[in-house]
Amino acid sequence: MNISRQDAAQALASVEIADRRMDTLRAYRDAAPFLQLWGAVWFIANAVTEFWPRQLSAVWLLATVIGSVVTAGIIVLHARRRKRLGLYSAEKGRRIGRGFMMVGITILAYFVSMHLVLGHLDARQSNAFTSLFWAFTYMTAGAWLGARLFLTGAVAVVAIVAGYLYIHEHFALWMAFSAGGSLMLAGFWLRRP
Amino acid sequence: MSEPNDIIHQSTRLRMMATLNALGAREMLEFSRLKAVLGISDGNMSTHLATLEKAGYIQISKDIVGKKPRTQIALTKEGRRAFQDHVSYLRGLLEA
Repeated sequence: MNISRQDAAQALASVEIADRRMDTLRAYRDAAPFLQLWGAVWFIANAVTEFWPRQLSAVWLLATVIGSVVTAGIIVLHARRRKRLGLYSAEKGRRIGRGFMMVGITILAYFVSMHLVLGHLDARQSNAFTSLFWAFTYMTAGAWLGARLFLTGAVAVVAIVAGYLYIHEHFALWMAFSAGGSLMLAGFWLRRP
Repeated sequence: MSEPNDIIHQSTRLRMMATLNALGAREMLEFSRLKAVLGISDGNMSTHLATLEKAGYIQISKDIVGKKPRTQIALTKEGRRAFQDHVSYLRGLLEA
């Protein structure tokens, strides 16, 4: 069998493309449950806020705590799955764990700092501000991990900004269906090959 | 320099092997997912999978999940080694 240098270069390029595609699909598959979880959190917390606005603080606090605990559970399940499939290394696991912890602390510090700087925000502003942060985070992650995640964040950003500017009375309900709903649907999209 | 592998070098089989090589050691990929990743027909998939299976490079397992049949594919140790040898050969060609 005779393979020219050009054939070899083409073959290696196709191997690299297949490799990258699998990395992207794996990232999508790993991200999907987080999007669905937080889409559900947004949906439920916003829907409750719409109908019982006086419970706003308690609902969001409870939803965030539950979401965070389930997120930690999903991370552990992912690590176990990767271990079972022979994709896990203890060193990498520790590095990722430290990374997640630092990201969590950084985000918490960001929100505390922003609230100190911005002072009191009303319910709509606070909802839009927090939700926009996460939607832009999905876009940023998508810039590295894949176009579908980027697009998901972009759709959420547009929905949040449009809702904030044009929907005054039922903003929370709008957020439940548009932002929460789009994240949940995106989770199904990300699972597709 | 190692020898080229004409079974693996065929373009569809090369992409198939590269995709399967990206999986973990005990990870399997469903037929439908591999087909979607490669963008080829059922018939084409079956032909190339049969060639790779006959060479001992892949392992195909079938089971029933719920009420639906499921076909999963994984590289064998020999297949992973053969793929890596072929990629080394290709890299060697470019570096020579």
